[in-house]
Amino acid sequence: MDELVRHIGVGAAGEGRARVRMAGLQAAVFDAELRPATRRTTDEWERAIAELVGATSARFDASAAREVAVALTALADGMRQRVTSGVLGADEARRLLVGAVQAMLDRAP
Amino acid sequence: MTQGSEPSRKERILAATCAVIARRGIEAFEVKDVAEVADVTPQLLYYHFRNRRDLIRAALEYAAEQAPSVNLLRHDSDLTGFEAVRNALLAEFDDEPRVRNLNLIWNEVAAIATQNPEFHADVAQVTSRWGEQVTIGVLRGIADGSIESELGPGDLAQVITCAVEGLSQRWLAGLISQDEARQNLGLLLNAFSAAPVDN
Repeated sequence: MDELVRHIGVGAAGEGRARVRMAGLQAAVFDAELRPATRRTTDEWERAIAELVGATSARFDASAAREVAVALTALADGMRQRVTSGVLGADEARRLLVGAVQAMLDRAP
Repeated sequence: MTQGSEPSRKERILAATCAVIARRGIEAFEVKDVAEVADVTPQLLYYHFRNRRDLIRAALEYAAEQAPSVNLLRHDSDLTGFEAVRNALLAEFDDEPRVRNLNLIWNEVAAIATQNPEFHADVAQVTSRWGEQVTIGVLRGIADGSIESELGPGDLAQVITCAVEGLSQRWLAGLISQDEARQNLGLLLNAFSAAPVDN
């Protein structure tokens, strides 16, 4: 689970890339031409996290792991926006992320 | 101008602000476009709102007050706490333009706040109020046994509302549909339900 949290991480390595992707998401709201590239980078991130989710337990087949990965990466995006807009501290975000990942891994079907 | 007509004019201006920002984004929006859509004179608009920033702040407040999740949570008293929280938050993902525009305003102001610290306090205030409303719903769920969580009520509300914002970014950007956003949020919420429901 530690590796999973680290990879999803808010304020972790790869943060610069995450911020670029978030800027792409924001711009894609008004520019449909940016959507394919934004979708591709988001898909790549979700796929990488899905592999780590799948590795935590045999309960997660590829489809279930992907669903959990989408929920967790979206949660991390929401947290990242709060951290960068000064609403939530980075340490607090990481603590909450650990709790959410734990709950998802324990309880997701 | 009568006192009674002021709130409706003000509300019309705020609804028009949401519509204009939803069309082109916050960076591109101009006050004169809002006056045109609201069918009011620029003078009247500046009577209510001192400047562009004041208008953006008021639009964010308006979006927060009108948010489906806040209003549904206040009224779904026949449901379990979990069901009320779930229904209220799933309702945030709605392609109906008025609801989508409210989400878009919130998303836009939160995004510009990442570059403009002058908006931090405004975003923090509406986020905190939303979190408090959801926390009340979570507390109801814990009390009636429908919500189970190792996280405290306030922490869980923070997690849930962050997930709504993250999914909202993808939905507004056209990466996922309204139904996919609801399904993904439902999956996350089920991790905190005593009796998970089918999505």
